[in-house]
Amino acid sequence: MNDDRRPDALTPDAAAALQALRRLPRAHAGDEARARAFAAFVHGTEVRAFPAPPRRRGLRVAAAALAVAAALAVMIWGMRPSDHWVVTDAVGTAQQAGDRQEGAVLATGPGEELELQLGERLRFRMLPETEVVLPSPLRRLFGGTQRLTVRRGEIYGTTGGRHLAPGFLFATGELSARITGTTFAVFRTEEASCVCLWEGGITVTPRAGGHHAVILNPEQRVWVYRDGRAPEVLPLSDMERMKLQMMSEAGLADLAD
Amino acid sequence: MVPPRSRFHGDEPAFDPDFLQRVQRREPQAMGAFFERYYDRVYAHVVNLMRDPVRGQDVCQDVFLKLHHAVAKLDPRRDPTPWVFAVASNAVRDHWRSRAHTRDRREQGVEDLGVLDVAHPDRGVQAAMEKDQELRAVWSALHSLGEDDREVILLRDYEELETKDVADMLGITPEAVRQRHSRAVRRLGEEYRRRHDAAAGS
Repeated sequence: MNDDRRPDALTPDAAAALQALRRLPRAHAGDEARARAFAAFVHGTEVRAFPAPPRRRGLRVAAAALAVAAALAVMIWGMRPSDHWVVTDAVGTAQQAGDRQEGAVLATGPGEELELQLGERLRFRMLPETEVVLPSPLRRLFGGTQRLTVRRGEIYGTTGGRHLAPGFLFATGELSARITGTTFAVFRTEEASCVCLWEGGITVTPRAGGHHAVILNPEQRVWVYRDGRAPEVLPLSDMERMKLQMMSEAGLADLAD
Repeated sequence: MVPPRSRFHGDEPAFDPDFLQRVQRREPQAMGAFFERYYDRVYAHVVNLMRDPVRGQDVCQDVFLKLHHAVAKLDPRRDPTPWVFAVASNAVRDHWRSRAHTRDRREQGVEDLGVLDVAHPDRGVQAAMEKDQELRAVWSALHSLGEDDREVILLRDYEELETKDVADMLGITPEAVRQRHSRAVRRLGEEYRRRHDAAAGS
């Protein structure tokens, strides 16, 4: 009897349970398991009948490290500019070289035209006496909002049917236009700005007058006036239709050439 | 100090210090005798705690490997039984904390502690239990308890270790062992009665 065993302190059920417990036979291991344990004790050798589970802690650490590395790689890749502006055509003495970085002002004089393309995303053509301010090249990710501003004149552009990054806007003093996969034109005169749509979709937001955004249907144009009048939606003119159709059919230039 | 003799080993001579010194020196013959004295007890204890004879074999091998590495620290003047069972209990606790145990419980759905009839994993013991309703009831009741309660009952009442030795093994005071044991035995009795009555009613 052990040192402090007190049968009188037990309930009858507990006493009966302990009595049964002490009669419980012992389990016996097989000879092979016994031999392994013997070898472990006498010789210090270890043989596993049941393979130890894989060391998942190490795997988890490795997976976490890989995930962090992958996230960093994606961030670095995403922060890189996807493409740069490339001059694809020029008429007259229009500026072909020089600064085409963020904030650069490009202008065409009388009789001059200039065409630029941003990778496989966007091509636009500046007609004579047009001035634009370039945004920075689109980033692959985390691009934020980038504006191509038309200060004066006319541009015709196409995305070649592709969707432009949602943060890319065209702007004038009177409006901003969000373009998603389309062929379009943006004009600016002294009194108003106009956005023309050949195909795709454009949302035009007037800057003044508290007017609602205008969602243009294909082959429509909207005039947004500097004096705050309500925007005016009209069908495309024949000239606009012809120019936009040509732009659409030409698509994007093959920059590999 | 004369080591106490348990009901399982009442006919075996107690280890003398000279023999334990030979074990300390890792003399093969002494190691073999030491192993034969403890292997069955340790294996049964591990299986009683874990209820898994396959993993129990590996845990038991771990126990003896640890004993092999620690045998130089054996105190020849003392009964080595508490030391052996302390290593065994720690190995089982390591297993309980392991992913393998968690996975086994999940895969086997072993959250069946309220089940009235729990089979013994050893065929021989199970055969004996099938003829004896009281053995079935106490085995099932034992495994309805938490791991700590089950361990203290097995150490105190099945292996018949002293309270102070159990306290050293578990790293708690003897008084805490008494309290835990008292509470565990009361629960065991209640669960045993429930199973006994259920079997009688059926």
